[in-house]
Amino acid sequence: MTLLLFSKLVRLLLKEKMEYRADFVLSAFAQIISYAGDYIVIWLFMKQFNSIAGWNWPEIALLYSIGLFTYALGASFSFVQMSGLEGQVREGTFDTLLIKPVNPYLYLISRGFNLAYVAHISISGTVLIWAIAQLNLQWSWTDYVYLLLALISGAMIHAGLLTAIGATTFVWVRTGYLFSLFFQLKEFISYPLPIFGTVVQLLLTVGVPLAFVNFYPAAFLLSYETSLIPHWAKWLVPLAGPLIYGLGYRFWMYGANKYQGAGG
Amino acid sequence: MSTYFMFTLKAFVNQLAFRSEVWLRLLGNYFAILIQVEIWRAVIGNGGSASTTVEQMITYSILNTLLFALLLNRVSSKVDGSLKSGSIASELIKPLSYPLYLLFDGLGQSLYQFIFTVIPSLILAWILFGMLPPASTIHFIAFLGALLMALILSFLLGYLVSLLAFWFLSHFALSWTLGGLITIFSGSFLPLWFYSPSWAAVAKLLPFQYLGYVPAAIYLGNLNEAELWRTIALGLIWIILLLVVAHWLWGKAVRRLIVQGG
Amino acid sequence: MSIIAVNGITKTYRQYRRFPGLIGSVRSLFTRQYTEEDAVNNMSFTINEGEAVGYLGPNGAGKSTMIKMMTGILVPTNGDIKVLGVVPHEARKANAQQIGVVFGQRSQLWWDLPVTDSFDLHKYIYKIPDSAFRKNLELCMSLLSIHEFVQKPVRQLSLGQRMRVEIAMALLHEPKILFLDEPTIGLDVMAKDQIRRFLRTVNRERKVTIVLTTHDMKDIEEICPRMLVVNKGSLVYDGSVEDLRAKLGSERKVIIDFRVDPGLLDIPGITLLQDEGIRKTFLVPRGESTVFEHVSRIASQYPVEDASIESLDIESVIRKLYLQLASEEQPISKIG
Repeated sequence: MTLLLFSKLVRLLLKEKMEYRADFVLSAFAQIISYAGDYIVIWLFMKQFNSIAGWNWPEIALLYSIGLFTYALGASFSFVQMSGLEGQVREGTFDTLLIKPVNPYLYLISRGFNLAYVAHISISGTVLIWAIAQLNLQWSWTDYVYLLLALISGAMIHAGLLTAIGATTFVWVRTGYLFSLFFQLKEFISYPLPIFGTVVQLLLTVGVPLAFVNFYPAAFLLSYETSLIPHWAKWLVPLAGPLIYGLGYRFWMYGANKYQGAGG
Repeated sequence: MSTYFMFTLKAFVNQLAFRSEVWLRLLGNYFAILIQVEIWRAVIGNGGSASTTVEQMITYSILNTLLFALLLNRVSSKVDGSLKSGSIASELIKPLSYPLYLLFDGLGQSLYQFIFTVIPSLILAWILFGMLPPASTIHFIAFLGALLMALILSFLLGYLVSLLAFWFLSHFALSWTLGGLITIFSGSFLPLWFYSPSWAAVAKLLPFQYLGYVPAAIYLGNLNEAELWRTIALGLIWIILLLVVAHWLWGKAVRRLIVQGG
Repeated sequence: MSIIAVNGITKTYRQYRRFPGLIGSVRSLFTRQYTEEDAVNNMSFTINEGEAVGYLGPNGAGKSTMIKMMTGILVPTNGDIKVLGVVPHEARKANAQQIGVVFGQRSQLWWDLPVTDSFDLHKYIYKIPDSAFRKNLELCMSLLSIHEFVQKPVRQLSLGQRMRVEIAMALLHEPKILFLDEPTIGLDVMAKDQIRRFLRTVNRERKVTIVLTTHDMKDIEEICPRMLVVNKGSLVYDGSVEDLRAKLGSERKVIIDFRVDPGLLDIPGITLLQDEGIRKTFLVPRGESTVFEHVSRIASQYPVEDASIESLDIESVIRKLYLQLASEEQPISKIG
């Protein structure tokens, strides 16, 4: 899989999308409305209660936006590809991937590279910048670097988890509900972790490490207490992404091998 | 009519194929309720705010999470699927009312959800988080009525979206927009009494509140008698209005389908 | 020189059991049971460079499974398989570079984009040098008359046009072997004809080895001098079409037009195939008495207007082979 091939694929994907230009624009617009809805409800909530676990509205907006932004980034390389895998395996089109002289994982994610996340990215990116401005933070350049690394790592966490769920297709055939479960789990990280009990905090730190997506980076950036991760480990947090993504990839390749062994 | 109940039964049986997901669904509902419970505990605490106690909010969250599983929110994607695959033509030539078929098919799925997801989740939530009883017998009966209205309105909204998709050809965009409107105005997470006055005023005029806020608020007895009747009356008006619009659009959609050759 | 060597290949699938009924549905929540089934069972054969081999058998005979193993998609449960000297699933990428695969029912084209874009992408995937790409593309496009619709989006093509494109694409990287899984399924006679002619040319002139599965015997007759017949995962015949006909098609179809309807005829050793009153069709074996003797015996007893003798078409031969297999459950001796 070369960069040349990837860029060729993206050019074709763009061309394909442009066949349905109006639909693409309408869909992006609708997604922005939908996510604006989430922001509005949280805003109404914060208007009523002022703070949750000590976090005020712009801080919650920052937390939520990092979660959404990284999701969009990671999902563009994983969600549609992985949730579509079930159908591809059932209909046998997955086989056509295995007869190409390329890495099947890289080809799958590039072929399905989803440009539609531009809606998520624009709304969460806008709110993120607004929140940072609103908070009037005295950030040094290391803080900005930290945020950037956290965004990349968060995207990789999302992609890694979605990839791992996709890999279960090779074993269980029906995986639709696992994706719903992922989205339900993802709801946890829309709010500061300390509001949850120790079990949930542990679950989101060690089990399904979604807390590394936004809570830990945001807490360190906003100087909040984090009970499970000591302050000196701040710079280790952005390593979670590459680690989880690597594991997700390994698991996927393992699943694909298993598929080759077991057959459709 | 018995034909249509057969569709309900068939949809129910079809869903049985997915029963291995029952455990996962239970877990998913548990998560959803847990998140809301923890949020309310965090902001209302044990003392309670001026008007609302934590117990009330827990009950509110459980009711809304489970209500969401019952709503007929797959109607529009089903129609979209038939439109894209072209099977809509064969469905239209059957001597049946297509909208009624959709309704009863959806009810079958809801029935399945009720037995395999809602009941077990309800018991689990009741044990783990505790639930308040209905405010009174009258409120409970009104709550059941409100549930029925929620089912009907969720069907009508989904159905309208699927009809509009005949013209806009983007079911995806329409259903995301509907989802956004439901998020903002249903009050299924944040009760409308916590909305700022202007937002609450708008939400209380729209049909989306019946998909979340209204049944739970009735159950908890948060609506006084006058409000209760006014809300139910408005709900009925919305149902009639949406029925009229849907009927009118359906006629146009069928004609359009015939002209375009399906 | 053998280009494909299959030696004692077995592929076992596991099938998970669902329990019926309501009690069963509760049970499924707790347990999973499975049964094992051999889709391919101890299969051995070799294919030489430049051959064109038809691989056929009834539905569920394990044809696709075998193709998937030869193309490196599936890993055999047991046995050895070598394609171009390598084990396909171990050297999957290297193998993929050397083979072309066409699935009749699974398109590899970009639905919403013009045909050229799919070709273009193929060039990048297989890293085909510019000059070779242009040369091969031009050849395939002219032989398969693709020029006329190459700028159309794939979704607007007919099934036959699409299949021509799929086949052309599979050849752009100059594969040594071309695998085709039911390439003519669902096509009209004209499209089938064009594809068969093209495949024959590719095989005879460009020396591309062809392995194809099909249900259409004409595909075999026109493209493949050799055929492999499989049933229930086992090889039951390996040889030429003519040899199989000689072995199984020894009967002759005799159509006799009588002057008047002789009514029900009961002649020992002869089967009545079709009775249209004065025209009757018989199946006559060649044994002690020749077909001609049978016919003249009938003609001596009844007034015969006309008689014609036909050999069985390959379709009937294969049907007979399957029927025989179903009744005996025993493979006939291998030829060749």
